[in-house]
Amino acid sequence: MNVQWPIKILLAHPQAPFLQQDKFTIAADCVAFSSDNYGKMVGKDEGVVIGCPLLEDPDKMMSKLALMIKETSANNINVYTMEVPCCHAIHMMVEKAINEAGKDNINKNNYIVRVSSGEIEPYKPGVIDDSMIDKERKVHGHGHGNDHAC
Amino acid sequence: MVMETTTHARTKRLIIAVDSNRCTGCGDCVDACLTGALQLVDEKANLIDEKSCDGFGSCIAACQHDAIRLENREAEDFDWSVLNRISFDALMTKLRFTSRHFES
Repeated sequence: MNVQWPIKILLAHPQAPFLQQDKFTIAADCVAFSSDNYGKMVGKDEGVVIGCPLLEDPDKMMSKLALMIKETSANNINVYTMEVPCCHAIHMMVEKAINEAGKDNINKNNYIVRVSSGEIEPYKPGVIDDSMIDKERKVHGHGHGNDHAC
Repeated sequence: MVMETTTHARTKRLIIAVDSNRCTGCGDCVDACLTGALQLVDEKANLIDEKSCDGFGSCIAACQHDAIRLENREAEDFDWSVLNRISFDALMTKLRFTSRHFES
C-alpha cells in the first residue's frame, strides 16, 4: 500500500483498508520523528496509526483503538511509544483492546524509544525488570542535555 | 556475605523544582503528574517523592503560573517500577485532565 491516510487514531476509519494488512502498528506521535531508528524497523506493508494520550481525549482514543483492533485482520500488532509514563497508556490501551476483542492469539510486540538515545527496545507492559531499571539509570544517570516535556 | 540494601541510587539528573513564591496552590500540577510525585503541602506544590519524578515535565506544561522548572541536581533515580503500580483507570483519569488542559 503506497498511501495510508489519515493515520491519527482519532481520525482514521476503523475499517480503513490500510489496517487490513498482516501487520498493524500503533505508535505514539513522537516516535517516528524523534530518531531515525523507527524508520529502520517499520515495514512497507504495515498499517500505522498514531496518537498522543497526553494531548488527546484518552477515552475517545481507547474506544477507537478497541474498534480498530476488533475490525483488523492483522495477525501482528506492534506498539511503539516513547519511554515516558504518559505513553505507557497506549501499551495499556492496546492490551485492553486485544482482550476485549478476544484476540488473545494475536502476535503482539511492544517497544519503547529511549528519550535520550533514541534507542528502541522491546518492552513488556506491566513487567519492569532489573535490566530496564539499569537501562533507565544509564540513560538518565548522566544528566540531560535538553529539557523534555512529556 | 553483605546483603544488598534497597536504597535507591542517587545520580545527577533532571528533576523538577517548585518556586513557592510563584505557586498559587491551584493543584493543576498535582493532577497532571502521572506518577504521584507532587502533593500540596500548606497550599503549595511540593515534590514529595524524588524517585517518582521522571523529570519529563508534565507538571510544567500544566502550571499556569510559571512556578515549576527543571533543575539538574543530585536526586534519587527515577523508580521505573512505578509504572507497575499505576492502574489503567488511574492513568486514564490523569490523561483526561491533561488532554482537557491542553485543549483549553
